[in-house]
Amino acid sequence: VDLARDLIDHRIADLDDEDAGMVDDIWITWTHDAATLGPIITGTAALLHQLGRAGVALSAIAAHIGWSHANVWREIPWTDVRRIERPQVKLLLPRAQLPELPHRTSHATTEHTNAMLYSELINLPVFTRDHRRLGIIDIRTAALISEPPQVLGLLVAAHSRRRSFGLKHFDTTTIRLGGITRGGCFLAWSDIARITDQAIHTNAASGELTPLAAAPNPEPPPMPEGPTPP
Amino acid sequence: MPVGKRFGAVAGWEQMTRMGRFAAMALGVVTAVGGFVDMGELVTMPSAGATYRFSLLWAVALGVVGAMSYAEMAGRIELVSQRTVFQVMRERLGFRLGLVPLIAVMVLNVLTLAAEIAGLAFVIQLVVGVDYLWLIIPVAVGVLVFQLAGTWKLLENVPAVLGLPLLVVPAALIWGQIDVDWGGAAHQLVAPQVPTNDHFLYALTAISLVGAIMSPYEWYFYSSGGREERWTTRDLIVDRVTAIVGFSLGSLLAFGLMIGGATLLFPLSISPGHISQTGLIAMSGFGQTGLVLFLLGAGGCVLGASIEVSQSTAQALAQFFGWSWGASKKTRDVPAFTIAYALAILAAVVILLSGVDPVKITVISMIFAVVALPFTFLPMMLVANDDTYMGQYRNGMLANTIGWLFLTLLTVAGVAAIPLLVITGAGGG
Repeated sequence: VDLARDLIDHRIADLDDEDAGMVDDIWITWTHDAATLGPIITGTAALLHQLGRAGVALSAIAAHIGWSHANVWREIPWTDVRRIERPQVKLLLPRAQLPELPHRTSHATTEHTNAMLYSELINLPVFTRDHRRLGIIDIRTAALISEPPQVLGLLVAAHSRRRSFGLKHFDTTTIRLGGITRGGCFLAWSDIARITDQAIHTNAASGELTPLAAAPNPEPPPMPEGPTPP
Repeated sequence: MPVGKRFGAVAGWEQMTRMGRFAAMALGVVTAVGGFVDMGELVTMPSAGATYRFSLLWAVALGVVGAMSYAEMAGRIELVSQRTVFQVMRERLGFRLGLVPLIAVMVLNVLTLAAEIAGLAFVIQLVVGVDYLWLIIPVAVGVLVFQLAGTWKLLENVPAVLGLPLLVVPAALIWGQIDVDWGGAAHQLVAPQVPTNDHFLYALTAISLVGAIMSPYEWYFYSSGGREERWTTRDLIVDRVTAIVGFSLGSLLAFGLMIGGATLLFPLSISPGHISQTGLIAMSGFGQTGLVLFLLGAGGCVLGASIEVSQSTAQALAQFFGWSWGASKKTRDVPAFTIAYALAILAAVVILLSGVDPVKITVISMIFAVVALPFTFLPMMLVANDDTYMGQYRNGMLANTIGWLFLTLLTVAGVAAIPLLVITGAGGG
């Protein structure tokens, strides 16, 4: 399961299959050599947070005109997730309970230690033991059925940014689209030495990384259940 | 060109009898025809005919094929993946890159909405004789109230049915007292005679015609209709019939407007600058009755387009940011969605009251439509080819050939459009 492809920016549906927001971000938390997915984040504040200074300015304007939602996001624990499907996350919660989910203001992200937002982690450079700089294409996890799902590792490539033109990075991983499959590798989470605010460092040399084709690749989430075609 | 999702009767498709399914498809086709034309076509088609006679019929045909192709694809993506165009855009482009087409579409939609509201005011002006500027605010309030009070089915079906009388235009050409050179039109459709001078203006007019037919807001409204009505793969046949048959029949209106302009206005060197001059086509065919039907049809079409554009603006924002939305939901349950379309209408009114020429706004919005189209189509094409999402419903060879061809054409046209707009003084020469 690759987060950008299978989870981030996807719809969230409540117990009655009504819109309950989008997966705007997600926490990645880690201890020693293992990492798991933290709560799913939804709310306009999470999106504004990704815009940097422009987002801060917009948040301030929103607060000024009384739009409080622009400064607070909701966090959905995995215990409230009923099912992950390719296009959506289905919750166990009815609509009335959504406002009761834990809230967080967008400028309180630094409270976490050993945790980072997906949107921040994905933009960090990865430095190998032989000082090669790589970019992150996506983050791969085990099947999203456990609570919480385990992070398997990072999909990395030498020029993930330059080649993607801003498209979600996974879109450029196919050769058909002129992508970066040939240079793409899998960096197991256990091979990560340390994560700072500026970079991810690995003990592995670039030549020791697993090619994408040989990386663990759990089945993606299923499509929604529906009537069979006529 | 408002297409809407004309599947008003398909809810509960699996429970329907064969006759019921046929009726659902017939309603889809009929309303697609009635909702085919908007202010963009009412302005650009007769004008192009009056200026270039039949030599731009090819652009109409091209636009119709593209519109059919992408409407079918937008509907198919929705009913298979259960996501609308803007949800797909957010997923594939991500939040930050997705903001680019979102903002472009917002600007474009507000311009288009201004043109539609002005168009409705023009139609009422012809009936009541009051200057259109005095009618802008009442019309805008009417469009807003209609949406606040109406359900989804009301919003999509009523204006489209009201637009059906516009069929008086092609009818006037076929059965009226107008001598149409059908042979010349058919010949120029296949082998157009490109003018020897003003190539830039000719190219810009062709781009605006394609933009008029392939207005981006239609896809958002179209695929949002799928979510409103909970389509499933069982609705695939309705999607295809509406896209192909409905668009084919609806294109008669666009062809009729251009051929009418070419037949009646070109010989007199009249370039229609007002909707009343377009009404001459119907009037020449059926006299006063023709004019009444034209005004009724034009009013229905631009009312439908006003609703679709404002709804699609709010739908796009809501779907992109994950807000609750839905035309049939109570206003208090979808506050951001409601505020979004109200603000879009307000912005359109401000533009119109600033004194900008509505016809100029229409032409510019048609051209910007072409600039914005590739941003929408690329993520659609990516998803339509994604095996995991689409399975057996992924694009076939025909859909891919047409899709990628149009994406390439629209990208080239979009890149060329802005310089052409500057060179020609926004089409003013």
